[in-house]
Amino acid sequence: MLIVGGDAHPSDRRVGVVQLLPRDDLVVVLGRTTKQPKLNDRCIPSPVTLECSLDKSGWWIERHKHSIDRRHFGTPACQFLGTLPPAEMKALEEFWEQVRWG
Amino acid sequence: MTQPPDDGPVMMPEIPGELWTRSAPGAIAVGDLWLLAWDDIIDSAIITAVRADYVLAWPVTFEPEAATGSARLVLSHDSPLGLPMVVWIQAETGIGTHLLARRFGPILSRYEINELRRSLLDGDSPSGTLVTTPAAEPSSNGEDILRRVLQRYQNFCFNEWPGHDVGEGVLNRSAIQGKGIRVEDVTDILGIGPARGLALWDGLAPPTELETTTLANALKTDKRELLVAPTSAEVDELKKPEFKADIMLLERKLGRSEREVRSLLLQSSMQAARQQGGRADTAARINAAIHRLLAE
Repeated sequence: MLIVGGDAHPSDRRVGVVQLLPRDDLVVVLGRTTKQPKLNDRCIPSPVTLECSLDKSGWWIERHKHSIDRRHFGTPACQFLGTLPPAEMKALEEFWEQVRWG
Repeated sequence: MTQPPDDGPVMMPEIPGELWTRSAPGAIAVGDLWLLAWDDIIDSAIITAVRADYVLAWPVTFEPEAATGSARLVLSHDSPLGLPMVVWIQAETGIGTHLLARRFGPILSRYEINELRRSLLDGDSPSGTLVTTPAAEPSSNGEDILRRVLQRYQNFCFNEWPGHDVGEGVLNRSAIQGKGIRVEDVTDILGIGPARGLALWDGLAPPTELETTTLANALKTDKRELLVAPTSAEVDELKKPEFKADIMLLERKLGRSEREVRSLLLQSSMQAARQQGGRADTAARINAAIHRLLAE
C-alpha cells in the first residue's frame, strides 16, 4: 500500500508510506522534500500532484526515512492526503526496493 | 519547520562518567554504537548505513524489560557500555551526521544488520546474531518507551543543519538573479552598505528578518523563496563528528544553543576563508574559529 500523508505530530512534512510492519503496528515512511537534494542523496523526483496536495515539485528522499505509529494515521496529526497516481506509485515502490536494505 | 515538543532526556540510564568518556576514535561505520546529542538531548543509536552527510540508525535504549514487538536485546557482555541494550530495529531513522557526538565502538556486523533487517521485513527470527529475542511479555511501559523513541527520532530525522529559515538561510542567489536583480539592487532595496550587500550576495551572512521581508516585498515574492540553506566546504566540514565535542563545549561556555554556535563558527570560518584565500585548509580555519570563541 502506498499513500501520501501528513506526518505524525505537528509538522508540515509530507511522507509516503512504503512499508507496513504489522508485528509492530508501525508504518515505515519516506519524507518528501521540496529543497534541492545534494548530489549524493538517495532520492527520486516527485512531481506536482495536486490530487495529493503536493503543489510544489520535490523529491522522495531516504534521508527522511522513519517509522510512525499506525494509530496516528487518519488523525489530525497525520492526515490522509491521497493515493499517488500509478506512475508515481510505481517509481516510489521501485525506489523503496533500492533503499529498503540500507 | 514545526518540531513537536520533546519529552526531555529520558532515554539514557544512569551511566558512570568513565563509561561515557570512553570513546573509541574512528570513522563513521556500519555497526557502531554512537552517542547522539543536540542541545540538552542525548541518545544512542547503532549505525546501519553510512551516506555522505547522514546515516541510517537504529535507536537504542537501556531498559531490557521494555523491549516490545520486533525490538531485540544485546546482552551486557556484548555491549561496549557493559549494559544490556534494547535495539529498536523497527524504528530505523535517517539522521544527519551533525548529531553524532561520540563513538563507543563496534557492536553489530554488517551480516547481523542485514539478518535483522530481513527478520523485520519477513517477520521471522534472525539467525547468527548476538542479539536475542526479548521475553514474550514486555513490561507495561514498553509501548510508552517505543512511543517516545518514535517521537524523539522523528525530531532527530528532521533536525537539519544548516537550515533555510530566517537567521540561518542565505540568499537564494540564483532565484534572485532569475528576477533580473543584481547585488547593487539588493544594496539599494535594503539601504545597506556595499560590504553588507556583498556578504549577503555571497552567502557569507544570513539576512535578518527585516532584510528578508523588505526584499520579499520589493520583489513581490514569498520570503521562503528567497532563502536556501548555505552550502560550502565549511558546512560539509562542520557536519563531521570531529568538531562535535568542541561545539558542545562552546554551547556551555557561551550559553548558546548548538544551532547558534554552529552559525557563529560557520560565519567566522567563511569570513576567514575569504580573507586568507587558500592559505589554510577548511578544518584548520574551523579550529581557529573554535579557539577564537573559546578565548573570548
